[in-house]
Amino acid sequence: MVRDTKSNNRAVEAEIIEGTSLWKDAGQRLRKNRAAMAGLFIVGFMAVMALSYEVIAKYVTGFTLEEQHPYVVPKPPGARSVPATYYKLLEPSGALSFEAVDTNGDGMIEAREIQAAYRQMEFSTIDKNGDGVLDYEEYAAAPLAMKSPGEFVPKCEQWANIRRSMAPIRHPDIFKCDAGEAGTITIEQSGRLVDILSIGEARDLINRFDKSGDSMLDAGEYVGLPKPRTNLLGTDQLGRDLLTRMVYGARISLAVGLLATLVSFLIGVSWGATAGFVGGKVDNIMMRIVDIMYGLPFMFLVILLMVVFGQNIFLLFIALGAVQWLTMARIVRGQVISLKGQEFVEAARTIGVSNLSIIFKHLIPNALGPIIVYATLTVPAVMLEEAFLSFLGLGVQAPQTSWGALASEGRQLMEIAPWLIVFPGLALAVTLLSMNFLGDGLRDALDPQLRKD
Amino acid sequence: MFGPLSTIPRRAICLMLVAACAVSLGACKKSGGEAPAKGGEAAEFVAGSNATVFTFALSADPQTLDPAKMSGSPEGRIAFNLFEGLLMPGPTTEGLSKPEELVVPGVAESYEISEDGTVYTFKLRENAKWSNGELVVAEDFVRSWKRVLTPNFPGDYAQILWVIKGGEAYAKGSDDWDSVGVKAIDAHTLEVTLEHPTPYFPELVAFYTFFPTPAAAIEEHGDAWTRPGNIVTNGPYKLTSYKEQQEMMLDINEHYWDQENVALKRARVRIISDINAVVNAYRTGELHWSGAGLPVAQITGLLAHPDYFKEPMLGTYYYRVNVSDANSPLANPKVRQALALSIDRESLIDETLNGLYTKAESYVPPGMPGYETKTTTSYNVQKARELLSEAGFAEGKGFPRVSLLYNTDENHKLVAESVQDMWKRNLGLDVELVNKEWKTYLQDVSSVQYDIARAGWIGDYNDPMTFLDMFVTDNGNNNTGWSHAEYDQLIASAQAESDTQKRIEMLQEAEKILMEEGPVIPIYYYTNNMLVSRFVEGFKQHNRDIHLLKYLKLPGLAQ
Amino acid sequence: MSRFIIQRLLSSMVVIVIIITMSLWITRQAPSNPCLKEREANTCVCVKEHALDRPVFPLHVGSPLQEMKGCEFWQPASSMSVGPVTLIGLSDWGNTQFAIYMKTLMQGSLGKSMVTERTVLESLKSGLPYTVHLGTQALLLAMLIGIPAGLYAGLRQNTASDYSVMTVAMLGVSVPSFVLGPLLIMLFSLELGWFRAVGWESWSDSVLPTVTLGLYYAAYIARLTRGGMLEVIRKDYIRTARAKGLTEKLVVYRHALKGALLPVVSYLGPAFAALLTGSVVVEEIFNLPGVGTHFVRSALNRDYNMVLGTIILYSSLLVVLNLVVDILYTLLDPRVSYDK
Repeated sequence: MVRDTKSNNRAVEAEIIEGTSLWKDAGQRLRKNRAAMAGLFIVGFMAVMALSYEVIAKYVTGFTLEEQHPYVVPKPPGARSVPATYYKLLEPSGALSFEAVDTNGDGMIEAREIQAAYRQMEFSTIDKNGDGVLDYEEYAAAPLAMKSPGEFVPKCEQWANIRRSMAPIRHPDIFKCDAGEAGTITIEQSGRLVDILSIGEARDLINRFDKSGDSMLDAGEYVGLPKPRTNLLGTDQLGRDLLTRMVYGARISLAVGLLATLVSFLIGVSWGATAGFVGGKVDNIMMRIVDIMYGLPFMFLVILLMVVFGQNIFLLFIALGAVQWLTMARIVRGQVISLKGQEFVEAARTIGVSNLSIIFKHLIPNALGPIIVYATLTVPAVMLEEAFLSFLGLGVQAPQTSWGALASEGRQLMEIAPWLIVFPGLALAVTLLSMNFLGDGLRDALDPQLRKD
Repeated sequence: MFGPLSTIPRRAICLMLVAACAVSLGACKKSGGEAPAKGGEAAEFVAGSNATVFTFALSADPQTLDPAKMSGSPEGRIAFNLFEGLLMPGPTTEGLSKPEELVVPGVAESYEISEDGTVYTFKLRENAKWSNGELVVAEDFVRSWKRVLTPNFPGDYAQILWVIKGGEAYAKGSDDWDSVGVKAIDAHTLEVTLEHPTPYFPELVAFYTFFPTPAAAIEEHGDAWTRPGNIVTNGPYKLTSYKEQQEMMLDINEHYWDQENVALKRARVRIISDINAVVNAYRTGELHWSGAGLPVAQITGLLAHPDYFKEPMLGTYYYRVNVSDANSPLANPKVRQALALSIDRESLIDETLNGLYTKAESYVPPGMPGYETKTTTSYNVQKARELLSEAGFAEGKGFPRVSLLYNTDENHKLVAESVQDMWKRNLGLDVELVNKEWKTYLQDVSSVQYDIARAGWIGDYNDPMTFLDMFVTDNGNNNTGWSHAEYDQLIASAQAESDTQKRIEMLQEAEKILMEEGPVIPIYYYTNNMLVSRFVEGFKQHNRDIHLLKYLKLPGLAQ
Repeated sequence: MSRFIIQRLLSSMVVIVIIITMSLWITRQAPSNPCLKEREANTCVCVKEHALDRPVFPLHVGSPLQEMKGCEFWQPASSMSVGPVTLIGLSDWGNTQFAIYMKTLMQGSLGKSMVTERTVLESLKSGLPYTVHLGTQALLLAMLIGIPAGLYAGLRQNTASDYSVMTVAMLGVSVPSFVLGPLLIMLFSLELGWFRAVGWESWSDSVLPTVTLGLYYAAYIARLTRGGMLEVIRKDYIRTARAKGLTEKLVVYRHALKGALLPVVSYLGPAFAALLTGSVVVEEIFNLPGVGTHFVRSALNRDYNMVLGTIILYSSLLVVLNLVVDILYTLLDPRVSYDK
């Protein structure tokens, strides 16, 4: 009995506070919830990343979204490429002096010579002890060395046939195939291990500096070579920097998730609450409409919408949200039905509060817990749906991309390039987890019955 | 009622943790560090070690098993083993010098060609039988071909029979079968008269639309005649069971005339649509042959596979250009030339596509016995820029934004993105990529509602005609609006020409026109990349991807 | 109660007819048609064979009708654009695609597939057992993991164990099935060799797909259970129960659980329906012969009859499931009543 009185007292106190600042109070409670704040921080961080793609591309990664470096691809994390847009020139001296690069000494630098210069540059980077040859340790540590395939390693004669098409396999047997008698590998023997620039890229590079239009550089035109940069998270099949693409993908993924959820939230809550509150025939009709929408072929709807709206991705995902509201409406309706029989609603009705007011001021706030739980679940659901659509080729249009599209592209390559699925998948998972914790925190903070317990 | 639940939470949490650990373990194992080198030391990989009969994958359920109606490769793969034509494709297309070597005798033991090349007389073997034991006679072929030529017969390849004299007229409703050039002289002699001398007719006869179909079974069961139990076949195998989306079983047809020489008495066809799943099934020892081509994305991981198998294909991957809108710059042949010249096919293939395909510098692929292309479109940015400025778009200025349409597929996307990049870089053109799902793509292409569209053409027979006649004015497969009187004329005279050398020259001339003024930008020639157990004997390169089970042997397989 | 059920079933029939009508219209609005092939084929024959050259409804809404080579084809030239309303003529009622389809339906048939040579019923019959088996197993797994995890976390709100349990549970919803599935294959099929990677021949083949599909829904259910528990644990009747001096266990399992499971129950209906079609990715990755694959493939192939058949199957299941959910609702929460 004593316990009961106490909690009643608390309830009375609470009533007074609520009257003044429900939302301020909720904000305070949210700030105390560490997990939620961590979630908020991470989601915020992702949002900032997404917004600052241009800055990140220029100053952090050094690559742009579409820039392709298609040689020995996909490149693993830590590999190097030569940026084409945002680059710093290396001084034309030493190994990069005009004479050193112009190996055939005809007074002109050609694409092949530029490619060779970068091979030399990469070789020196890999050759940690600087003895001019690679031992197995250095060979295996080279970023382009390929993970050994599972159930077999090719024999030397087989390897000789395919070494033109792929990077060396990180396996002692293959090393022995390539190595000379000394058991080390010279730059000539290193094959694609040190190829960081394709001949096509070398031609582009020349075209960038070539003033005379002869597709070669003379001493006057040669101003040094762009400095290679590291692909921190590796590259995809076209040699595009994964980190840059993920930063851009964040933009699409987050926008899609939030927009579609907002749409589903607005429609679903109003619809479900109205149906649940009014009940009877109206409820029946409204929920039958929801049933009909459920039975509709979602795939067809999306294909149709793709045709109608063309390639406008945002309109499409607003439409996605308009599909998502169905479950929201059902949940809200269920909540409202069980809430509306309760005393506080009866009380409100007796004192003459209007129906609209009862719905929005009393029922919805009290049903907010499950609604928020569901809304936070809708964000990942929509993000996943977007990924699913990309999987079917109906999502983001290339060369734009999203985390879902990146992960579904990565799926095909997961055996040889696990980073392509792990990093986008991780970004997706971390963001979704954070959103969920944030949603939890909000739920707790907004629950009027929970205060000070 | 919820009592027993009280013990569950802890157990469930354990379960959940195990699952989560397993997942993260998987991720870690692959993402982190170097896996312990297995390879050389581990037990040698043997394909199909978990399969009891010869097993291969099929990429989709066949839409039909009726050879008269079918088109498409999964259907063909089954039809070539269930049925047998007068002639059959040989085991390989490599190293042949004459087109006649492409085929081997099937139901026909031998055949003779008349002087002018228009009358073929086939001598049928007397021991050729259906799987119900009945003889295969000349009348079977007459009936089957008549069925295909019936007006409005729903056969995708029905038009291929129009090479027969009077075939087209009959199909269009002439109702005069007597004037169609197919006659059964006696039970074992069939005489076929052709509209034109058709040097590739032997290969056509070895194609499934020309295969005999069992008239009695069709009469009895209607469309359901292809079901297991109803189906009667005359090839080396019969269909014993078929589970949709799962598998088919092919068993030796004990009435087949050559059945003692067929080594594989049984074959299991696994229907696996996702190519990644095919590779997984192969790697777990459930398949002897991957059946379909491998995904480009995975190829570097499979190049070193001991069972990796590569064969050139009679097919071209190209971009078709809509020339029907006179106001579009694409209607200008110079612009199209510039687009074709500014694609660096070598780097596209070597660097982006891992050297999987062969660069295409013309439209007709190499490897056809007796034909060699005389045109090349090589990478030449300088010339491309000149042509573009001659057309009035120096450095791409004033060029409208055109779209490049492709159907949803990783490979098409890779190519399109590279080409988009090259056109931007080399010509300063902005091209928008449009990716549509297959059917919408088909609709856009067949109604010529695109600017530039990805296309692929796999030849039906080893003759340039299969590539060239489609660009004749108003051909149903032209789909570009391109029309060129001289080209049409050359193709028509080549069709009527009985002198091989002259005919080839006309076709070479036509191809030259097509490359210079036509709506075609070739990208690469297809190759077929597969996994085939290295212990399978008799599996040879075939440029139309026809691999008959009857040529294969798998020593040591329990039958 | 029985009156309520009969009423619902009757209105459900109406719902299904409306769904059929709408789907029939929508499928015909999608660009392209089932007869179009990569090479020129005898399209017109196919169009005529499937009566696609007839109007969909007597009342045609939309832009001018598109003509196929040699065929009168009633699909609008540009989809979905609202154009003039044309009355085809009431005498043609029986000739419309709608009438033909309804007649077929009345004969207990779903028509023939427009792409393969099988009937729609055959294909659905062969696929449904796998999909239902997979869906049921996945849902059971999801509940087995989700409900206990949610309850456990809900009762220990904001503690370390709450966070860790929920974090683990949320992994299921955070990792897309097309990532999880291949990872499981890589680990358990290719590396360890415990399960087969592809196909469905014995029960063990269903383990990996079930886990891939189930973990996703387990996370959903855990969330909803936890939320429901938090909601209910502070309700007056729980306080009363506690005040009566009942043990905590009894309070939780006898009283709180029912209320806490309400959101879960209302989720189960749609969840099961979603499992049926949502298993598409899983069916694709593991190459399972289910209905989900049929649905997507037929939509992409414009196999109208197959799409409609799948939709009818799917809607009927859904209507029944929702009815069951509503009945469960009244059983769990006596305050909810449908008989007024």
